[in-house]
Amino acid sequence: MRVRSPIGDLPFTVTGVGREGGELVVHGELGAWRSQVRMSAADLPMLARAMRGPLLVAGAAGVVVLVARAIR
Amino acid sequence: MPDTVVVVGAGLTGLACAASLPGRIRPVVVDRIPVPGGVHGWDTDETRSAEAAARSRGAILHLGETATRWDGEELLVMGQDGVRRIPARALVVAAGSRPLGRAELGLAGPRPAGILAATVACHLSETGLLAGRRPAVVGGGDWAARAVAELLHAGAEHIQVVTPDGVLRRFPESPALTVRTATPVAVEGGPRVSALRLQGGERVECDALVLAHGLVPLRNVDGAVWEGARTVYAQPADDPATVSAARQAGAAAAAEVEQMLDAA
Repeated sequence: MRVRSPIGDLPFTVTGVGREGGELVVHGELGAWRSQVRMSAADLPMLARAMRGPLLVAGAAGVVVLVARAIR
Repeated sequence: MPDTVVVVGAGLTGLACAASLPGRIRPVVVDRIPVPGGVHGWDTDETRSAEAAARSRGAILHLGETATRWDGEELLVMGQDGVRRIPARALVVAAGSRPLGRAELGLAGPRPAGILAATVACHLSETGLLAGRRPAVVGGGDWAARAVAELLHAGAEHIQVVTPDGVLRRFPESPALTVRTATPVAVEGGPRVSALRLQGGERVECDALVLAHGLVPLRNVDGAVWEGARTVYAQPADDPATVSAARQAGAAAAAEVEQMLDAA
């Protein structure tokens, strides 16, 4: 996994995933820097907006598969 | 207990130096970037092999930590965990090189916004931040070629390259690129840069100015800027930079450190 940043492309290694105080926390290392990505329920609308396109495509593909199975 | 020698810079030169130091010395390598490799990049075979050689030699790497001051006996380092003091018998500065700054180029005039070092322009462009739509680039060497490629990729509409010494590296083929050999003498504009004035009076209109000419050693550790007690400099300024020059400079610095410690 890589993170593109103003100081260059850096490797991001995930070392663990856990729950802390209602947040989903992805622990990792950005190169040698200990790092965390923290997500809470308040971030869900933003994630949904950002992933709207891929989710629609996945949903449409699922419908096609279901219809194809029903026709068989 | 072995003598400690601190190497500032985990690029190919710094790693080669650490790997070349004799067994009675414990190398400690410090770099402000959290990955080794410096400008050569962390994801290359050369960097992986240089890091492995340094580590197998017993080197300790403090990556993502910034060396700030050397007093001849101790290096002060700031990192994620706070301040670290590393006592050492010698310091090797292997911090790489940078293009000449505005004062070093002798550019007169006001100090408007929009004047960037090529190193900064490249980083910004890589992250999609365009320094200017009609930038001028001073220089024709490796940094200039890299800056031009990154600026074009980021969406620059027209780039005017001014090379003071006529040197011209492998530049991308593009109708958006104009190249001329001339000596820049002044900057115009305010609050943002609007033109670069050339010797003879000609003006190169631009909305950003990227400085990419020449190479000088990057020195930003207080106490090791010019000479410095127990300090060795390993900063090849080949343009373009080469892996072999970096390795040679690292090995030469290691030999110099050994002589210095033997003489002490």
